Amino acid sequence: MAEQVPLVDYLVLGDAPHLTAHECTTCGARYFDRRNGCASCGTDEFTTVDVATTGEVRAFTIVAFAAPGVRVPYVAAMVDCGGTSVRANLINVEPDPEHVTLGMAVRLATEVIGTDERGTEAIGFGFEPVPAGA
Amino acid sequence: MAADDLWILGIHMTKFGKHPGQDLVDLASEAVAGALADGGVTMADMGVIGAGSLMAASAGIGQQLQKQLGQTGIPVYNVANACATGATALRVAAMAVKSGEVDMGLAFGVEKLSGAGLLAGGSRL
Repeated sequence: MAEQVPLVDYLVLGDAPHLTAHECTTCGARYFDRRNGCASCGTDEFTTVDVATTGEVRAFTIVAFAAPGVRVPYVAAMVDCGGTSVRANLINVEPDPEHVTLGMAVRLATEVIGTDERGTEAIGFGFEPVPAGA
Repeated sequence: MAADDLWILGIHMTKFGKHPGQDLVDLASEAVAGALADGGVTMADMGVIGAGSLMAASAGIGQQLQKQLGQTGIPVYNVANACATGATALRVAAMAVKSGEVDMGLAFGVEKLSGAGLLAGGSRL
């Protein structure tokens, strides 16, 4: 299997891909990516927590225009994962209002977003609809 | 004490050095968190920010700092003023207090020169 690298540091690959967040040990606020202090309470101690891989679409927009090379339309969304707000695209779904709705149940999914000349794959993430009955 | 007296509640300064493991926002965060702690206050107490950086003012260093330590809805002024950049940031906060607009203000200045002395700004391959 080709070597894989995650698009962002907070995406953990492997058998059960998931996101991790910095959680403030004082107030519980969660943050992705770099963190110098808690923007909510001002303290600076954090633990790393796993973010739920299922969630609900809280807001979305269907993007119709983009720079050359970016496939459109695509769906940019805010997903509530057990109380943690995650910004990501909705993938593996028809990008139209008939298939994307507010409150729809989604789950984390990964996809190859690029491959370099050595065959190393860059892995991004999005959310896909949870199939009925799953 | 006159009505227009100003008090400096807290200060902090990072050590001078190359800091290869810290970027501009790391340095600013360390200084600001240290100054707030020294003053016994938090970002929520601040009414204005004067953010000084000759090279990163136009990159919104004040907003970058706020994203890390607290976006509390206060005005932020990014200033660049040659060797008076830090003093100008301080003046912005001081004037806001003296005008009566705010009770407390934060001023910081940050610059990372390590690696920036090359003609291409260190970006040339």
